[in-house]
Amino acid sequence: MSALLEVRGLEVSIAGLPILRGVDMEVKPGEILGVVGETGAGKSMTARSVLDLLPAKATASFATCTFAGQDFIPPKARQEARGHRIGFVPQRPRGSLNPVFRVGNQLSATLRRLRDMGRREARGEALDLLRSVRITDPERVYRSFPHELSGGMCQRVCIAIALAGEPELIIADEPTTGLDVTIQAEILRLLGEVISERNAAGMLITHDLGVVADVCDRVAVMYAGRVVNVGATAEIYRGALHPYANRLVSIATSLDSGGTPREVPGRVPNPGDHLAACAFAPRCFRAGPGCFDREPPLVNQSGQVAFCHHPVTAGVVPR
Amino acid sequence: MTRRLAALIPILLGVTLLAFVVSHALPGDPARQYAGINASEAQVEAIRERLGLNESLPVQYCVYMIGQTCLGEPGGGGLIRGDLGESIRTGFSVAQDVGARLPATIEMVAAGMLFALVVALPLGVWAAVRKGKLLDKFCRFISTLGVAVPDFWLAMILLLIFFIVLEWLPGPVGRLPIGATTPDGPTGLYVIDSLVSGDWETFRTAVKHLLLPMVAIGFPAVAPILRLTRNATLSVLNSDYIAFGRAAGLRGAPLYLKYVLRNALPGAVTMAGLIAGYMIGGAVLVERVFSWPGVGLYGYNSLINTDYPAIQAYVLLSAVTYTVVFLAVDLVQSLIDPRVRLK
Repeated sequence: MSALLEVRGLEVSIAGLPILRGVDMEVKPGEILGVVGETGAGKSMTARSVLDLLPAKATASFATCTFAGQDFIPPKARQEARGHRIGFVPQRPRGSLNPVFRVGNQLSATLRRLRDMGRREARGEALDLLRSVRITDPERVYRSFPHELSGGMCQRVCIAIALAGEPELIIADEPTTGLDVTIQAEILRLLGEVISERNAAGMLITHDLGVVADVCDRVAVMYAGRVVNVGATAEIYRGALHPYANRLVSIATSLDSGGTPREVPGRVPNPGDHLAACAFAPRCFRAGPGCFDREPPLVNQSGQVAFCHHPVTAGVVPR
Repeated sequence: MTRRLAALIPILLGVTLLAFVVSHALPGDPARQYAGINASEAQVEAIRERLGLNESLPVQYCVYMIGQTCLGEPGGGGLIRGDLGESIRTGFSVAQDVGARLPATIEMVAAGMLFALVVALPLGVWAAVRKGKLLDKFCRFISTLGVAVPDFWLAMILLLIFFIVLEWLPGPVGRLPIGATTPDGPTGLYVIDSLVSGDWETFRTAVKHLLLPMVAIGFPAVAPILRLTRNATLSVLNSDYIAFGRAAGLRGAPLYLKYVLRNALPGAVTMAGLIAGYMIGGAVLVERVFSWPGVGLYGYNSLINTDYPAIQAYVLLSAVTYTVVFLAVDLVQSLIDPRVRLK
């Protein structure tokens, strides 16, 4: 099946420092792709590049970028897709709604803009959208200002806004950041539901692998500006090929089972740091001399793709 | 709101005392001014007696505040009954004098502020969006110019260009041509009154007379409002809600003039309020250049003639204006931002 969104060789640098160093990623129709990695791995930057929403000093270049067969390399194509073809669910939902307008106003303004609706029609549709994100009293929420709503409620409204243009792909950028732990799972389940209800595809960015297991069909693991391991969620959990991904899974599962996880030693490199041929090599428990000066080869095995000289083939490495 | 209004009373009482003391400390003798240069010493003394200037200062203040009752005499008057006294210079009641001139100043200051806002707000947003580009630099130039150029000088230059050289606009003859009938109306603002009564001819003339004073008094206000709007816009542009708005397909004019500007407004509104209060006091020079019959000119003439009641009324008016403007600013703030609630 051909991909809905296909990105190849995406490079982004901010003020001359490389942030993304050739990201390859694809989202297939109807699937939810989880994108995981530590802070600074480039997850959000990848998503923002697709919407042409990078910070002012950033420059991006793609080798390939297509969306449903359309060339997405011209920035204009990506800008025009915002809201219409790609919906975006932000992190920090309370800060993402404009504080001076009622949320209903913001939602119906989006509908009028994206779907050329009249005032009355937009209002009706907005209330329906609020209901579809499981808000039980849409009339009250419609009249509220963002500061009068809880973080979880604000995120439901943001999801409704992301859905307003009937997009084919919904990108959620760490959508549970800043929310109470008790409602994080609820919001993620909701996201999964609304995406599949609409036969849309999703890209869920998170640093929480536990979340991914519940919602995502496939997982892409990013490290230092590259995708190092991609595969079906079940395969990744059974035993990720890349040592970094493998260790992340082991941390997540040992946390779930109440054990003390073994940490990944060292720290994530900063942009501009000198990187080994495999950027993870300095922290890797399997690294050999070749890892530092030879580009890691592509390994395609048991439904996964990884870039590694010494892939883990024995399942999850015990701690 | 009521509590804030109640808090004004001691402030305004203090202002009356201050205005009284300062005006009486000024050099000059109103009785002599009133009598004229040819009056005899006895005549001056008689006038001084009639104006009550021979009483001690505390008694004079008492009379000013609560009227003749203070001296045990019948008759009303006094500030507490709303009586501002009688102008020594004009012989009319001060309230009448000020009432006749206040609309002229309000019209000029309101127009000037409107001009400043219409220029400064969109330019401020635009300069922020184009930060570091040519337009931003142009705005910086305008701001520096606005601070550096005195309003009365600008007034004269404007007259030179638009009245003398180009002959597009009328000269400094006040609000309407000499001899023109003034429009009747409830507001006293000629532009509004003539518009309400549908008198297009007078409306056009009034607008033409208003244009140059408007620019002269408004231009210096452009600079601070523009700078403030630009800086506020810069921080708004970095906010999460603008990023999310963009991600939801918002862009162009609706993004900037609705989504961004509304959030960048509060600082500019506070600044505009401060400046508006200042403008009413500072209108005197521009009024002088354009022979604009406003309160600034009245205050100035009262001052050089040591016209005590008029000076006191002028100072009190300035104080009241400031408080009214600040109340209005708070009101507007609460309309702009729902998180601001009036107590």
